Amino acid sequence: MAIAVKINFDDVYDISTASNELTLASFETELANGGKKKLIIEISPEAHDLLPNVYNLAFGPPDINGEIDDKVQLKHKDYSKVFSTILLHAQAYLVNNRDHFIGIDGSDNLRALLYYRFIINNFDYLSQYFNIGALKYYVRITRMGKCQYENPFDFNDIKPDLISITRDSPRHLDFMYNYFIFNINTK
Amino acid sequence: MSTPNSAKNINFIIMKDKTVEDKVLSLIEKARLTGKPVKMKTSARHRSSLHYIIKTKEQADAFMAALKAL
Repeated sequence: MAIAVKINFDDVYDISTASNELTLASFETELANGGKKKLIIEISPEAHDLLPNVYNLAFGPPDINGEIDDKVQLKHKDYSKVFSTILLHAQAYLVNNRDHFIGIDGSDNLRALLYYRFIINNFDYLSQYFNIGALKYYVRITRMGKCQYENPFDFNDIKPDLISITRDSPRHLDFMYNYFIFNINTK
Repeated sequence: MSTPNSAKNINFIIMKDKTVEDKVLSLIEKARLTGKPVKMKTSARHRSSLHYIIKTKEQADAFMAALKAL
């Protein structure tokens, strides 16, 4: 199903902040069936062990334990408003922490593609506020073994490759990235 | 427009009547007024593929160099 997302920070849901560090917030989305659902936005309070100032953002409805369920598929009434709300909160966090980077995973291929497409389709708007990078992971191929069924991939030797997303970034459907990184555009 | 009384109405006014920059600053101020940070059950860090992929200093140094070029 194709979802056309248009980011507009003038049309967002009310955000309830639960942390003075902007690491936890929530808002209520409207569903296509007329219902409402709470969505949590969580930014890790700790950076990656080896990557200072890189923090992960996750979002989704709370599960039975109150933790984010980032795999559930919700049918929103207004996807543009949902993602605009999430990115507005991300922007507030980055304005408050100008040396930080926020990263967003696609929890599956469909989500990763969706995020890439809406970043590209909203690049002119988003680039006013963010610098945006996209990440792929490359796995080393070892020598092919004597047995043709031997696994040639060395998953202990992975190279991450980060590129800047630009207006000219490829748009064809089979082009994907694993992870997206944002920091505040101070230009 | 009459002055709203409830917190929800105040939030509504913040979202509808200000520029993006003002909205961002309002969010930051609203967060500051919440007080202490909430202890989260699951750190969002552990949901990140970066957490599982980048495990060596070499990987991290290359990644940080690329980030600085963004």
